[in-house]
Amino acid sequence: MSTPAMAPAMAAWKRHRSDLIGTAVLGTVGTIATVMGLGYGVFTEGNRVGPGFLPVVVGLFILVAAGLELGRILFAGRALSEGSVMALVEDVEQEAAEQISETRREEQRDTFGRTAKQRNWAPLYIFAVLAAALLLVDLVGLVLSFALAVAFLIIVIERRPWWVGLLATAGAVAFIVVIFKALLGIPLPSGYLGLI
Amino acid sequence: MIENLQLGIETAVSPENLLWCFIGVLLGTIIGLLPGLGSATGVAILLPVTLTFEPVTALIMLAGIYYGSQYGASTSSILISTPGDSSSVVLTLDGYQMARKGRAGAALALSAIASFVAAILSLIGLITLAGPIARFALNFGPAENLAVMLLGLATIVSFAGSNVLRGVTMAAAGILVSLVGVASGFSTARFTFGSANLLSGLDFIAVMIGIFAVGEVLHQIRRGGERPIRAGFRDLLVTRAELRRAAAPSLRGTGVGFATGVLPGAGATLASFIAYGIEKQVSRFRTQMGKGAPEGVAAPEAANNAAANASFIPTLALGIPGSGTTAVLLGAFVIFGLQPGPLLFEQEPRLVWGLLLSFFIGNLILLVLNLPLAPVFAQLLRIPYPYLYPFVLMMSFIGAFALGNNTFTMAVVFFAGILGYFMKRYDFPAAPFVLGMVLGPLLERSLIQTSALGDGNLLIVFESPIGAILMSAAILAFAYPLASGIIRGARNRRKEPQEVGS
Repeated sequence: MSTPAMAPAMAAWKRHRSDLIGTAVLGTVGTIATVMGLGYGVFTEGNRVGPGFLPVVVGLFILVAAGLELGRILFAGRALSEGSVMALVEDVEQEAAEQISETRREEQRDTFGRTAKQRNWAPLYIFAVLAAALLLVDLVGLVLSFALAVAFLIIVIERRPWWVGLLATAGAVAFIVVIFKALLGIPLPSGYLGLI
Repeated sequence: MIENLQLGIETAVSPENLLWCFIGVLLGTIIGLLPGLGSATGVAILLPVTLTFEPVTALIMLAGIYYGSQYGASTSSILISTPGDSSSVVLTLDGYQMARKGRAGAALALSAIASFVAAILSLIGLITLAGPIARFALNFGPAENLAVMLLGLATIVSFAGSNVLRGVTMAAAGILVSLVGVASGFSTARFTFGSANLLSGLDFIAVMIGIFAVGEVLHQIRRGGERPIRAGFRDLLVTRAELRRAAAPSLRGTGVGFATGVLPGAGATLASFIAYGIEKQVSRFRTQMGKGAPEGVAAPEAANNAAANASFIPTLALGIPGSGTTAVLLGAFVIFGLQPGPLLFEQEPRLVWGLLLSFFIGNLILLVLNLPLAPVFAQLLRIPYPYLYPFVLMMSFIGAFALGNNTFTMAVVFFAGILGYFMKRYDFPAAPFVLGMVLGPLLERSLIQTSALGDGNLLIVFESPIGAILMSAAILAFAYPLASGIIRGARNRRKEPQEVGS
């Protein structure tokens, strides 16, 4: 059961869930860095800076800053810059953001032909395709794995005509081979198949 | 000085450098105007292509991409209300409104003219100040260098706005990432978790490609695209009244941009916001701002160009990047075996002055390209993004491979891309992170040297007058925004119950 004093914090949690999670992740990184830094040795002989000095200082700094940021989001709810010179900047930034989002609302579907919901999922699919391409590098080679990724992105993810997708992929492959292989002489791995 | 300028002109006007300067600014304009491909992205993904160039030629081209993109970025803000680069976000206010009123061409022309004026004035400032600052910095020892690094990090706090804590946390996270690998001056492997690939650390450019290229592109996909407003050649004619109204804001914007750009961590984006904010307070036409006022185009556009040039002062003279993109450029210097800083002016005068003088030529080319050809460039906004982004992603990964000739670098790009995407999505600023990554190794080296010099006593940094002044400025820059924010917050909280009660 939440006490009345905790109510603003609960409301802030609902409003700023992603901010809070991101800041908590940073705090955790700070903690890990501090602990590991202590293991590296903060000082060496003669009280001189050791390999763990900077990790500990920076780790502690992140931990404290993340803690303060969490406190600010949960309990203060106010920007530190309110009423300052930087507030002027943020007012303009806010205005521009509203202008940009206003134009977004005017069209349900963007030029990709995606709705807002589809847009949320698209980056996830693309990251998955990129991960698959990276895993395929050893098997089919660097150029071919990314050529497959490009074709898949255009034809399957973006639902463009297959022949246009293949043409675009061929153009991209030609560009990469000419620049990196022919001009720069970089040995691009051709994988177990050894095709390109 | 005259000798240096002569040397610079000779270098900048060599046919090869002229050609690559032209290609750089042309690519910069195109990269800048395509949403999701900012200047940092352009420099990061095209850096591998320049690996076989002469360092001065490569840097002239990469720098051309940087300032060229400042011109191009405004086109997409004006025509589709989608900034090509963060520095042109503010142009979506008046630039887009002018376009909606049928003055798209005039807005594009005004932005090109304001950019050019600001670029030329700020370049004069850059050339005048960079040399003396570098000469002064030659007197710096390890303690003063440590103070400069700390001042650089502290200015991030001053300009982080409501994200003060988030900004400093990201800068610190950037420092941590830079510490991965075998510690400089020690034999201890840090944060490697048993991976041999991590022993030599995370490749800075690979992380930049991930954050700026992959992260930005995917963020753009999540935001979606807009159809451009048509701009014709005939609309490019700016009226005399518009030019008159834009003159003073351009000069004010240049001043604001230059002053902001020389500070590490501030950058062109912040400069454009400040210039617009000031214009809203001082302009005679402030009531029209946000509704398509020429002042709202000229001031921020001048500011972001002036800041982009001014950010080369700390980068070249002190080795401290003034912005995210100059941080990537600093990585390019290192790849070519050069260390930006005061010694660069002594050891590589041909490179430094050739690079600086090429900025004048580049800006002239940009004016010629952008003034009459803006509607032509605008047609590029019609290239379907679904065909463009897969190519950009492919280029990013293969370019990263070319940097280190190993597949691990591509894995770094992938994970940095995920990080960059979430940083963009949840508004965690990338610039402080990048600055932290650049300053981390330099900071540690200064710390080790200062500690050795003081026999373990780091407070010797306060013993020299320069060190003491720089450290006092760093403490002030760090503490003031935090303390004043907390005090204002407490004061506002005290006020609120009274207002509710009354």
